[in-house]
Amino acid sequence: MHSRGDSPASSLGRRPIVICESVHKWFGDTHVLCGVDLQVAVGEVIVIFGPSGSGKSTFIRTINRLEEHQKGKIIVDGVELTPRTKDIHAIRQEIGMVFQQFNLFPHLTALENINLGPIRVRSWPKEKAEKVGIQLLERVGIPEQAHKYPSQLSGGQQQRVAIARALAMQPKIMLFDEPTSALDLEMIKEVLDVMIELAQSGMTMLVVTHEMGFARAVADRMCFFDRGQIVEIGTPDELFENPKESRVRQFLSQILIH
Amino acid sequence: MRRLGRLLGASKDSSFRLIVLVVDITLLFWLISSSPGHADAFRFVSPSIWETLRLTLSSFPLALILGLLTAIGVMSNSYILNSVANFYVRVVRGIPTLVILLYVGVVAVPMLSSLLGITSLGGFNRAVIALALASGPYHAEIIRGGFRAVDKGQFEAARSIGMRYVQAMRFVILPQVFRITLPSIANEFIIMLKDTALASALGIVELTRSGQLNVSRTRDTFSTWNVVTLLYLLLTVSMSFGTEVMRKRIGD
Repeated sequence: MHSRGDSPASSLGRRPIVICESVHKWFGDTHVLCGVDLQVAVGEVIVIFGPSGSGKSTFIRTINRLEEHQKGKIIVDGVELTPRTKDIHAIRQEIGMVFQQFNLFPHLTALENINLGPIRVRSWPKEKAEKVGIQLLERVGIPEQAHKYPSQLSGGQQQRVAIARALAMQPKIMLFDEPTSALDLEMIKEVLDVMIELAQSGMTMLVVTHEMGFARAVADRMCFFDRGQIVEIGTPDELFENPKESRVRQFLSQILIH
Repeated sequence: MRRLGRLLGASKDSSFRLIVLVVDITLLFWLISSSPGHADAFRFVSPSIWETLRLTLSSFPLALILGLLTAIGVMSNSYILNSVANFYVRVVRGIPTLVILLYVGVVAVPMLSSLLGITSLGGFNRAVIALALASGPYHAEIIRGGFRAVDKGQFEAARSIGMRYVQAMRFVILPQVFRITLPSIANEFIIMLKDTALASALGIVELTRSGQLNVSRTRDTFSTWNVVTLLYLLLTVSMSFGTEVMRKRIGD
């Protein structure tokens, strides 16, 4: 009984931290999200994959409300996201996001990039923010780059700083929007290694990616997105060994060739 | 010497400017010391440099503020703000700066003063207002360009760490806009200095008008205009070094 939608997160024995029910979104007349149902449990790592234009990026951006959905329900950590939601900024502090284009602040050093949120949004004292910042740089493997500017860093280093920046806010959930798609091949591994460590440490992660090695290593579930809907969802084993939908099988065969 | 070169930015552009400056100063000194006519002209016109600087320093901040407001208006979603800003830009860009000065100085200010029942502003203030009005649109365009140059992802990244609009502007967007627009704005300062020459049409005795007065006094057009030209060049080229130093500082 394979789900078109989703098996409830409670089946994993953990409480859901993200609940999406029948989420629809239109960009003008274009129907980009056509009824998405998904529940993400605390500590779960979900990989979202599928063809371009399928709505994967748009979907994860509705979770931190960088995009607004028009129909359906999205509940994050007990709070429903609506146009009337009181303090969306407070909710965003609990959700970290890593972008395909890194989006580091070019006028700040790596450490300053990481500290900006804690100091200005969470009002931490500078010493605390710096200490945590250095620790995070160590965690992502580049403490010596603390005082470099983004323009002086490689793509892989920049993305790792971006991950550290998101983690500095101590979020409960991390969203990744094709984090390695803009990287040269030799730098993909260093970023994926950081993400694997993060997954193993128990972070709740929603990752849009084509890196199937990553999915196989740490994903609890994978879902295939096509034309605004989750076509199939299951564990990596289920999807790689025996996908139920032909679209999924076809897509996987195409990308696993590389 | 090398320290000076590095400070000034040892690029081909800067070395060329340095040559111009050195030639300028040398020529000026030589003319003043060898020709009584030039020396006399220099003594007469050089005090007016102060008025030129006063005009520039007064109207530049005003122009910048006007430009900022106009940029906000042009980028705004409000129909009223948008229309007013665009109207202002179109009108000013359609009239020669000299005519703007004349119109504001001779027609607009007296008319508005009598309409509002207040005492009419003096010539200096009229010139300052006119000059500011004339350059406002260019400052606005620079600022607008600065905003457009900031990547859209910057604002999203700021929001993703929980920043509100004002925080994102203050810590992420505006610092970048500032860095991007500073060289162009600094250049506008030099342009403003040159534009002050137009205030002569309103009778303000800045450097150019002073030159005209010297001509009517001595009939010596050669000496007068040599000196005035060299003095303007001296001012603008030395200021452009200041911009260069600033550019180096920001580029870090």
